[in-house]
Amino acid sequence: MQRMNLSATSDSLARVVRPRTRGVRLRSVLVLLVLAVLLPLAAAQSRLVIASPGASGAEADPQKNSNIYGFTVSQLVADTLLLYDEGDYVPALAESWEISDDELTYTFHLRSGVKFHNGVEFSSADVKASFERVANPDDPLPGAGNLSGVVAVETPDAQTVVVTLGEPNPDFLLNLNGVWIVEAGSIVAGGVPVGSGPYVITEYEPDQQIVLTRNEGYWDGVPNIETIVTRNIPEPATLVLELEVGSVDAIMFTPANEVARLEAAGFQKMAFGSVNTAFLAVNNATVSDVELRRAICYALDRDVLLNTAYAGLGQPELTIALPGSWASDPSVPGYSYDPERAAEILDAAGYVDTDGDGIREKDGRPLNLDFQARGDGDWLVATQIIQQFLGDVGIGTTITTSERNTYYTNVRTGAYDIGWWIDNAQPEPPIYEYAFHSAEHWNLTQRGNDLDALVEAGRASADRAERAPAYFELQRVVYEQAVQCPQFWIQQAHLVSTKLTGVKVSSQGVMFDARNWRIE
Amino acid sequence: MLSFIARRLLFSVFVILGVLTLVFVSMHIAPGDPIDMLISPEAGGRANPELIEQLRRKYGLDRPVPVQYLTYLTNVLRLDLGESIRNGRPVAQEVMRLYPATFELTIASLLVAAVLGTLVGVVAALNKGGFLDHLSMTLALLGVSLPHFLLGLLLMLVFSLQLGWLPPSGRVAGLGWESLKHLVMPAATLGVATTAIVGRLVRSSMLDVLKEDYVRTAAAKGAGRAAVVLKHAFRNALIPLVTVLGLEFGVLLSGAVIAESIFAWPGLGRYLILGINGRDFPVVQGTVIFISTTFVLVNLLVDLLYSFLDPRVQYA
Repeated sequence: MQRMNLSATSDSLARVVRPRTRGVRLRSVLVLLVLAVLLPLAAAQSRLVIASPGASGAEADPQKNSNIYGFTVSQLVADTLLLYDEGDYVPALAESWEISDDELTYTFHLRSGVKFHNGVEFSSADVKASFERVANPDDPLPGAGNLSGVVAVETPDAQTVVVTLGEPNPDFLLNLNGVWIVEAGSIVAGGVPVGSGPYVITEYEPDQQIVLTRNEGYWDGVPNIETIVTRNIPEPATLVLELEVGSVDAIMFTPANEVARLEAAGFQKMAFGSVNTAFLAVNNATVSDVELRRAICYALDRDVLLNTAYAGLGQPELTIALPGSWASDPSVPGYSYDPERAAEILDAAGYVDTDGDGIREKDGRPLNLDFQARGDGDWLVATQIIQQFLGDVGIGTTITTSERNTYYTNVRTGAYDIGWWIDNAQPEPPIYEYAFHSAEHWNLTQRGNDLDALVEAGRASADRAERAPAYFELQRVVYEQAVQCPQFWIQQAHLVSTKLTGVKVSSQGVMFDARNWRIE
Repeated sequence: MLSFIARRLLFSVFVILGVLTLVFVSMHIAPGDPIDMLISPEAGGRANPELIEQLRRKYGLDRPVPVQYLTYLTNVLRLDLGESIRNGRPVAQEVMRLYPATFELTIASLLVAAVLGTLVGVVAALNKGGFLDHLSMTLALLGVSLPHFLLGLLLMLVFSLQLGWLPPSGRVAGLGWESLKHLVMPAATLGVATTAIVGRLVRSSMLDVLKEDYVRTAAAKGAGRAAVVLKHAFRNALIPLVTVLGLEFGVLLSGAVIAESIFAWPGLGRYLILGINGRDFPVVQGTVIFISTTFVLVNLLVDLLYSFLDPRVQYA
């Protein structure tokens, strides 16, 4: 074009240039018009992408989720009667509630004017139907444990639900935080039942991604963010990369060794899990010598363990109770790292290294424990560190690694001597107590039922003053008997872009209060 | 020919039945309990013995193993693969939904391997002992030795984080540009080892064929170098390649397990891993039926291809 213009006369130049100018003007106007239409749209379009490394994705059915990532999705599509937020119970679908003096009857007064995604008005019948679906004995859903002990659900009127328990359960309100309410008619109709949450699922690809659009008629106000995408990225390294590339705004359960680096790179850290307990589980049936168990507990350096395997994310846990809490007896000291003490105990109990191989013997048999281990990530690292600590005091161990499911089953069924364990305990009561009951699925101690009475006494009332003595006693027995070796209250972290604000994270890691989330 | 196919298909039924039985037995012998994953400690799982019993009954886990096996076989014969223990969705439906993604990835990586590998092999053979030969064979060795996991992450670091050209993970269904961008890294990661195998195989196969009398005859008749290589040597060098590609198809199908996890590719591999980890028996069995059926059929196809490539091969 330039060469042609050079050889053109001024007239022809004008002819060449003029139509171009007109074209440019026309195009500019068109571009401006398009921009004028699109810009406000673009500004209003807000989209949040959350990713989780969980092995399995979330279910579209809010009552069928069984992991923290899934609970986060349940929280988006459905509501619970109440929420547990920083130690308080906050009304959600129930506006208020009363508990009878015998703590067996809970009366919930429901919010009016709430509509499910299908337009049906929320009433007490939905609560009853939801409870019955979750705890159906022929087809129990993952949350059925939350409703164990419920003997009757009555609906005297559309706005009232009366729940009767067989025996008092001080954690019942907390459990309700995990029971999502769906519309009764949609349960009967089959398929995915309909919730009343701040978001509606518009696209669902199992184990891959879920696209949710905000519920314009949400009872608590229209959510700020228009679209939320939740993705399932199994490989943690990929997960971190997606955050760094910027294609994902929030990653759940960030690998511990990446947290500090990502925080330094400008991402927000949302730590949680003050009551996730990490401990060395000890099979009290096979390691029946209490002196040996005490020596094991003294041999572990929890600071090194926490800093090496978990990047220091957590706080020391000396006993099974959260220090400073109402369930904690400060006079119970717990076990601190003291290898000399461990050696003394072992010497006194007759475990002596007679052949000089570094491993102690008793009655001619070397002291060698079956150390079961989960073979992935931090779990194996922690196991290897513990093996070294135990070796330092002359306790031999043979590590057997297996994948998650096999490991869990082995330890639960008692096919182990010792094993590293992390349990996602509930925020209430502030003591890791439930697993010491012999009827509990994850009772790892293999001790029989000698601690059942204490666990039950702690649950017998909602009055903390009445419950505390039982927990003090449980805490003391677990220490004296060295039932297990508590190490730390472990923390985990979601890492999110600074553009995202207003997110609340439960002590277990569920991201909630979506209605108030905001993204720039 | 037809009777050959019929015999092979009949034989395939027994192969698949054998695979099924093996998988069933190994899943039930292996320690681990599906219920432990439903009430996992990570999610604060609490349950009393009563609830555990209810769950076992629900999934038929309370029945004796031989009864479970017979029920399972009868159901498979009725084309009912059962429902996932983890989420209750019908396995057949899930497998059909995920199969295209895995098939797409496998075919793409096989294509990468066949094209690149053949090219490398032919170039190496024609430059035997030369620089290109040594270079390509060293690269091939590297390709076989690199674990998928490492290669996948390296590719991601370079092409997603540093250059920003390709999305790190996920899949977009369809044939568009976006789909292709998502497919490149997983296909390359999965295909690189096969590329290396194909390269080495084509090289040695070409070297053998180039020594044959008919190649010398063709050259003596005055055929050009390109005609000698492509028409006379290459086609005959293809026979072992087709066999290997058929077998590699199976390797890639199962290798997709790792690539799919790294790249969050929603295919059968990931589904299978989830099934194994959760001791989700119906999922594992259903997925294995599909993978083994594909494998058996592809190898039947390979056998049939022989007679096309080499008319001397006849089936009766």
